[in-house]
Amino acid sequence: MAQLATRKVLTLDAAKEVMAAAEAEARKNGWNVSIAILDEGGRLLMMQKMDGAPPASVDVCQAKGRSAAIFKRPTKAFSDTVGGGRIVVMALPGAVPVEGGVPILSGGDCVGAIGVSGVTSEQDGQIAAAGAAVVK
Amino acid sequence: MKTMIAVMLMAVAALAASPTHAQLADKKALTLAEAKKLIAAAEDAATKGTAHMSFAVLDEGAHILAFERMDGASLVTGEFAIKKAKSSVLYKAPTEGFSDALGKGRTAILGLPEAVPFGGGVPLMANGQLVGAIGCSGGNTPTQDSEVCGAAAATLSK
Repeated sequence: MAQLATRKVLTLDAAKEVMAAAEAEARKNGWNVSIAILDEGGRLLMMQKMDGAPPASVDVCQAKGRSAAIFKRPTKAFSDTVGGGRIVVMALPGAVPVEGGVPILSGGDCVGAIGVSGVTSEQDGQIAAAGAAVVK
Repeated sequence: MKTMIAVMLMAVAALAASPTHAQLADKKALTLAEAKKLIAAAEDAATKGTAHMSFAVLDEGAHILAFERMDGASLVTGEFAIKKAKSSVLYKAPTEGFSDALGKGRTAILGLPEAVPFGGGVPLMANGQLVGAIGCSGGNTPTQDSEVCGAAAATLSK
């Protein structure tokens, strides 16, 4: 008999905790952003746009989160690669070369991702990291 | 072209002659706190009906303010909740109106851009003005999406 694998998955309750931690980090700094949490397939689980966040941030946060989920790596990695001159990564479908998307890891496995947009990309990344850190 | 330039010049002249500043209108707007409340009310209603659903609250520009997909809800419910809410914002009308019209044989509804002919999208109104919409998808019965939407929309602050 073939055996199926067992793996961890994000629940809505877990996503709410990730969201709360990210929102707290944003509020602490007075930053208004949009935050998206996606499952391991890059599908939207939860999203929030804070008052005052730019409308464009709604789409951008989802795109960053999706990139982080499906490539299992922070969008900063693509940003660094492009910055280093390897612009070819921009041709990868779904790859977003702007910091602010961070995978959510559980025991080394990627269970989803968080994407943030609305302030500078470095600050977006800081908020996303604060959210992702809630999951062990 | 000449007419366009003439119109533009007249507009500029009218602005220059005006002694006062342009007057802007005041309008209510949804906040994240309000959107969270609506989503929580929808989740509560869905849980009572033992349904696994997705919910989306959009602002008056049809941008997502808050979104949730419950455990066990199919992926399409997430996409559909957003589409229903978008339809409600763009047409300033519940999606149920489109499904009713379609039921009466008005198949032309299917040609309307962004119109979703299924219940479960409701515009959010404050002071008679549109402030956004809520969309729900994943109900166990044909009317549950509309009911959950209605229950959530009823909690909107005035």
